[in-house]
Amino acid sequence: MSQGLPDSDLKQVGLSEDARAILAALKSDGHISDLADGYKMGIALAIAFHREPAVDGGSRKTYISVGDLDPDIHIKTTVVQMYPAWAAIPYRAAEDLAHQGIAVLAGHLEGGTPWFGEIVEKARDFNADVV
Amino acid sequence: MDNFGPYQGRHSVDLPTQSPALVIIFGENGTGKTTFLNAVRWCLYGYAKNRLKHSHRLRDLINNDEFDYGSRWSAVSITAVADDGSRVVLRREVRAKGSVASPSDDSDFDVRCDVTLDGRVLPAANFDEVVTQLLPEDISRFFLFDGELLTEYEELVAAESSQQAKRVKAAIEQVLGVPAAVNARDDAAALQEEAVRLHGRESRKHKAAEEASERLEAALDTRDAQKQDLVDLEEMEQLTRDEIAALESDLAKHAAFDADSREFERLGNEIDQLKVAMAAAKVKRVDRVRDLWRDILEPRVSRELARVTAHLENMRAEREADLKRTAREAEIRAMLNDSNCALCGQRLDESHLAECRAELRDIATSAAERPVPPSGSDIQAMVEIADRLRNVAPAGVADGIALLEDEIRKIQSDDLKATQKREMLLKQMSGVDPAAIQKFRHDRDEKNQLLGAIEKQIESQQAEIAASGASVAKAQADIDKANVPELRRLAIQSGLYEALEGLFNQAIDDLIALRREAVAREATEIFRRLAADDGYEGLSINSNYGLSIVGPGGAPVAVRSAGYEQVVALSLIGALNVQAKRRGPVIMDTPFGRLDKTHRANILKYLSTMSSQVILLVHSGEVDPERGDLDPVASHISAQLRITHPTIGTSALEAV
Repeated sequence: MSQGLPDSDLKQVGLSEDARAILAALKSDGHISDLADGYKMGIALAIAFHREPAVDGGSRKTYISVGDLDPDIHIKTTVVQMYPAWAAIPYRAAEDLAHQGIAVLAGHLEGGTPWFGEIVEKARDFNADVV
Repeated sequence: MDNFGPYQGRHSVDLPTQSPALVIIFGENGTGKTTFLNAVRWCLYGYAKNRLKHSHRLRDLINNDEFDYGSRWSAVSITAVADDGSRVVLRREVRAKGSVASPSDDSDFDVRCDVTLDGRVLPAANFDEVVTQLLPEDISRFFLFDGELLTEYEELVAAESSQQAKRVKAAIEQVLGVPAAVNARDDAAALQEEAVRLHGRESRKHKAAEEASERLEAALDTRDAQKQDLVDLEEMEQLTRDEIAALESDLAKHAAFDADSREFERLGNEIDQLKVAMAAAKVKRVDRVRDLWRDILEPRVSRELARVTAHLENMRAEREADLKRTAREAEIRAMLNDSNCALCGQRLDESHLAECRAELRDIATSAAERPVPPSGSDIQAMVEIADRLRNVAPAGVADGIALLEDEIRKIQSDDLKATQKREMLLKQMSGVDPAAIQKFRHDRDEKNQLLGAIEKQIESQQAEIAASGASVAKAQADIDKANVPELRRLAIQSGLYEALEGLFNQAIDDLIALRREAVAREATEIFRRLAADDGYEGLSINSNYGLSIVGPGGAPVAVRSAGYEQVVALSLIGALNVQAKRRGPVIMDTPFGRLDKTHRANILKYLSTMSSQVILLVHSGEVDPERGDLDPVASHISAQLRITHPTIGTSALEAV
């Protein structure tokens, strides 16, 4: 195990109060149907923008089991491949990436409305610029 | 302007009075161009017209927001420079009476007029007189000109015998100075009347003419009473017309209210439909957003997959090479062991064996230098990674979501526009009592019936006056028969005044004819400058100053387009301006509404020469500086202003 990283992976991922509030607002405004959709989008955004997972993520309440979040283990596959240092604890990485990505999503809201098309476009452009 | 219409707060405009002449004020539809013209009209004459040509209520003149804030007054102040250089300041103010809690009718407001001349405050009673000296109201329609009201001229002069047509004709003749001759004629008539009475009084002194003189006096008294009755009837006619106009204005507001409330309802339905469309679009989007995270991962995952695939290929190539080397090594070892060739089975001599040993050493050396080749399980593991990455395939929902979001943006924009328009309509509709409208309609119909009866009475009164006139003439003739020399002299004097009156009548007719021909010539000259079509010969004029286009060969053009109606009307107004005893500023609101580009350019050039101060209120569809529309008259423009909409329902003026 890499130095400083926990030994065991999470069986349930958590959600901070701030992140929950953001996702809850998106759900109540009809932009997402489930908090899990926003959670996965957060993970994807953080990966797309080449964020690095961190250990100290702040206070988070248990939200969802990894089995319910990632039934096809697509998230695990991607995290393991993109972040080899976290290969043994992919869901710990995913939890932190989710929060970073939700913060990215919150930064792209226009009056509370997310324009997902523009966000996807920015992620594509970001990766096109990366060598 | 203070709180006038949409102009909240104070808005001051300094209009250049020196050459060049043109001042252009830009404003899109609904921003406040007509309100600007109405501000001038209202300050000078106390009325402001709406688009239906009816007068606004006093309440309508006050800015709605200021009224809601409790500032229930409005004022317009005009500073004018007269021909003699004196400076006149005219101010008209409307203010709600303090005792009225919810002012709405005109009777709930006070109007105050102030006038100063070169800094001296004049009595308020002088206000109208000062305005008349600057620009009399009955000719103002030819100087303060609303393009949208052009049809008024066309409708009015079409029906020659209507009272309205007579008023327009009188207004035109006022401009041409005819009333001065009419005044002289009326003075002669008064002298003649006095001479007849004197004749009658003197006749009583002579027995031979006594009976005829009594008849004369009785006929004169009867005629006087009839004339007074006629004056009363005409006053009643005007009063009734004014009452009908006021009722029409209220009914027009109802018509506007009906239209507004229908539009309000339509917008409400539109907003409901937009909400349904928005909900549907959001449902679709939410459904697609569920898998959007895979599309977001796609750039990185596809790149990683490409890397893994390339690595896998390398691994396979290495393994294959390694397997080949291993097989060759085994083959060589077997040959060294058996000393037989693996291919042909023949015995190998020492040189071949040495080659084999050398090759074996090479193989061992290169194997030691190479990294450990991937095993089958290593390759299998990489295959599994590639497969798993392929499974994280994009969902392909991103483009569909982008389209849905374009649709959502449009719906939001349409919803906002409809909501704001609805709020404006609500403000406009407030204060109108639909139940009262029925009474207005009833009263209007009754007044129209009364007006018809009064007009008939006027006709019969005029006939009676004519009959009385005949009685007067008969009595005078009978007095003449008495052949009294003193009376003969008075009869001749009366006859002279009558002839003088006739002479003035003839002179008036001749003057009108001369002026009318001058107007026709001037209007034709202007028409030729304005009209794009060279085929027309000019204009001809009828007794009501209606102008007809004369086509090739002198044939009148029977039907003309709305655009050409406007050109003809502008030609008349231009001609009247040239012929007028007075000169003054010309203010035109939307003068180019029905005109094509060529005519607009022609008229713009003409307008710049029409007066020393020509103020045009235009929208970008009529005149667009960015299209170069003002280039031909650039040297004639002294100022350009724009009416802006800082917030919904409010207007402001700023220099361009």
